[in-house]
Amino acid sequence: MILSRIWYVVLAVVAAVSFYLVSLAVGQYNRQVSSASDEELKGDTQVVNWALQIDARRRLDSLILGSVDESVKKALKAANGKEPVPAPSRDEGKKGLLAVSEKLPVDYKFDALFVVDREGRVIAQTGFDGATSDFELGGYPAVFDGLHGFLRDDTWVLDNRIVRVVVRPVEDEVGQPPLGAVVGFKNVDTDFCRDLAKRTRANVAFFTNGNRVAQGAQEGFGAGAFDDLSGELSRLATDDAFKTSGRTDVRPLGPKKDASAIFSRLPGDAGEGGAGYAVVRQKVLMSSFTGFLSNADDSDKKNVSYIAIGSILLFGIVLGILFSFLEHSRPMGELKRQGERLRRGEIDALQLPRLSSGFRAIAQNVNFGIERIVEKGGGAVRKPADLESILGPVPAQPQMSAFSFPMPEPSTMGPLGASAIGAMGGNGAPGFPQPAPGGAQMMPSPAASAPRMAPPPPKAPSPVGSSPQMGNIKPPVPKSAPQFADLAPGPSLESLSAEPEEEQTRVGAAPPGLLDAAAGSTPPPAGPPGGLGMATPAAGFPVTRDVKPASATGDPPEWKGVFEEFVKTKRQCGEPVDGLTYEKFRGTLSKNRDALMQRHNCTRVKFTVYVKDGRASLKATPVRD
Amino acid sequence: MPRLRKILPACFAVVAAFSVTGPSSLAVAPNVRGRITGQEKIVPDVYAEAARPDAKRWSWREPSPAVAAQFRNLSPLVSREIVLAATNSAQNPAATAPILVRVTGGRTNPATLVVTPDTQIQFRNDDPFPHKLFVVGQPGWNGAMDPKAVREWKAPSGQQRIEFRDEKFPSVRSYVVVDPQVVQTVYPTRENAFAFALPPGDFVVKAFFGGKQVGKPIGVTVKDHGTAEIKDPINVSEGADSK
Repeated sequence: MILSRIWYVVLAVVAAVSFYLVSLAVGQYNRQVSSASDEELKGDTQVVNWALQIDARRRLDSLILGSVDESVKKALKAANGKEPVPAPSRDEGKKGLLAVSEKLPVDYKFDALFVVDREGRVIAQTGFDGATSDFELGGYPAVFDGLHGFLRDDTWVLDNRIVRVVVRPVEDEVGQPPLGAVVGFKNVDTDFCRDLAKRTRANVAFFTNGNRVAQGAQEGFGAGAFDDLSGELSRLATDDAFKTSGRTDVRPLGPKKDASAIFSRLPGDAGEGGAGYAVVRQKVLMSSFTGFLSNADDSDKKNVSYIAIGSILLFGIVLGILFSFLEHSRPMGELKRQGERLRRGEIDALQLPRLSSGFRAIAQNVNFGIERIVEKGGGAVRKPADLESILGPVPAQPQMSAFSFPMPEPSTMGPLGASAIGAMGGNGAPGFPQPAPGGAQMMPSPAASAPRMAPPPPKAPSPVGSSPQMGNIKPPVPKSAPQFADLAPGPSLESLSAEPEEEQTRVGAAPPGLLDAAAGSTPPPAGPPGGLGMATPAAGFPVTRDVKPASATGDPPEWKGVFEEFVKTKRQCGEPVDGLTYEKFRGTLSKNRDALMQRHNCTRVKFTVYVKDGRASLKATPVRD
Repeated sequence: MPRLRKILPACFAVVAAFSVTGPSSLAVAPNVRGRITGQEKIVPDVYAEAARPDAKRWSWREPSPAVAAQFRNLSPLVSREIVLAATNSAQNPAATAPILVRVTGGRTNPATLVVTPDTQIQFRNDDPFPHKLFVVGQPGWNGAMDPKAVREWKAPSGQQRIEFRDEKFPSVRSYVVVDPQVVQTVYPTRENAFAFALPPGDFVVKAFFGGKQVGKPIGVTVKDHGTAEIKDPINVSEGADSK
């Protein structure tokens, strides 16, 4: 399942990286948009400022029609120095103003026009119905300048109305002081703002006394951004940049900060009172990466390479399916097939090598379960030989002085010692994998690569000891069958009893002393009198015989005694001894002795009979003289 | 005498037209006459400030080529911004009637007053839009005025200079000089002449502009008969802030 899992990791990493990148993109996009919007906003503000200046200039120029109008001059000449202002002068002045208003270009018509005499009194006016006969304008700096020979513009706030004012002196003769001045009012209202927004392509709102008085915006501009100005207007009084330079920095608007504005002070008296204009620009910010989807239009969608997207999608799907097939579907199918074969009886156990690791463990457990069921049903299962049960435990340190040669690794010694078992086992040791004798199929196991020492079998119900390495179920074998055959690497006990070995002819050549000893006529030479070294089976003490190489056959004479002790002990343990002959016995001992002597470079091997778990067992101990 | 017959009607007209109701309101013929000069050299502070480019009070301000340079100075309107006061050494009482000050056209009319302590001043809004006056440095007086509304203010005791401004119109700057020795105040005519109708006694004539005394004070002795002519005009540019 490693590929599938790696694929999942790859997908998760790709998804996480994609999310990270998109999140970064959102931040970068917002930053770029904000920066660009701020720059555009500054440009808009400058453009609006220039537009207001140009508007004032053109209105100032257009007012020349009033400053040279004969009716206006006539009215001023008649009114100057008169108290009160003569009515004919007022009428004449109004007549002149109406004529001037008619001549003005449409784009620069005034909302109100005034004729002011030298003392600042309003002689005549049009469009300012609130004016009384006492109304004056001469105290305003713009009018004051106009009365003293200057052309000038200004901005006033009259009762929460912002008024753009231009003043031009009225001259009669060159070299004479002005007769008075003409004053033009242009209200900053919605129409003015719309026209300004149209000319500047900006969104503008004028404010005074903390309130918006007029606004104009481009099409598609959300009017809500203008509403967000209110909160900022109240903070203008404390804005240092606004107070000193007359213009604020870019200020974000609204809770989402999706709009920004620059506040500028109007030139003139109105600016002294805090009146000004705000240029607003909205920006499309992304609150999250989903904004890329919601804000995309058709042109954006057309620019997407759907072929690449489809390829990536197909690639991911194919890889995912392939990995799941290789690591899940295919072994699952193999397991299914083996299960069917098992059901049909074609196999006795699941074949582990054909399964991958995860399913192999499952199949192995199934095999164990089958084995256990068979065992519970009375059948015999084939298991690795329990050498310890056969040979008995070998102490880490020699029990006798004869064993006083250093052992390689006492801690790893088994019943015969690691070396001894290795020498004995060879291919016959229950290591894995290797085919079992008699064609039995052995299952692979992690223990296969371990040293040749067989791992201790798991706790098995059988005293023989069942090993998990058993890969196949063999025909039932009686529990009482001696495991002595497992001492040898080659044939098992069954094979020994089935086919006689060649060494049988050499058994007859055993020394007579040994035969006598075996017959009990003479005590064993190495054994102490009275069965020294023997222990009763009940006591569990081993019966020890020193085994020396036979002179002719290579069999020590003690082997006969060992054999007799072994047979005797088996009988005492209630084990069957049918078919157990000395020839088979000595053949097995000989092979193991040779192997042990070769491995340990010892001079002889001592075999000891003892009882383990109620069964007769043999223990081989290399001895150096 | 023939000359006096010609001058007296003119003096009466001047006093009737321009004198503010003063501490000693005299309905007799004017007996002190004089002139001012140098008014073309002084500029009201508010207009001087508004003309500066760095004040950002305008986008365009340029002289008209048809107006001679000598007329393009921002000299004050003497009939409203320069006041002459006749004072003596006595502690004169407050005026019996309130003094009317019109608020219109971006300024007050008159723009400078000299009064005795406890004199009542009435500010009347003659504009079609509201004003809101306040006393500089002396909060507490409510000068908000709708059109045609009147607000009264009483001159404090002692000698001091009071400045009024308008929250809505920065060009409005009025000055009230409180002086207990003031006997009578007059405003010059368009021809820069002035005339007092004073009781017999010794007086000092002072000129005020922008709330400050300008020019040299001139002593005048008024007798039961005859008219005192101040031969040297009062140069109001002396002592005033330079242009």
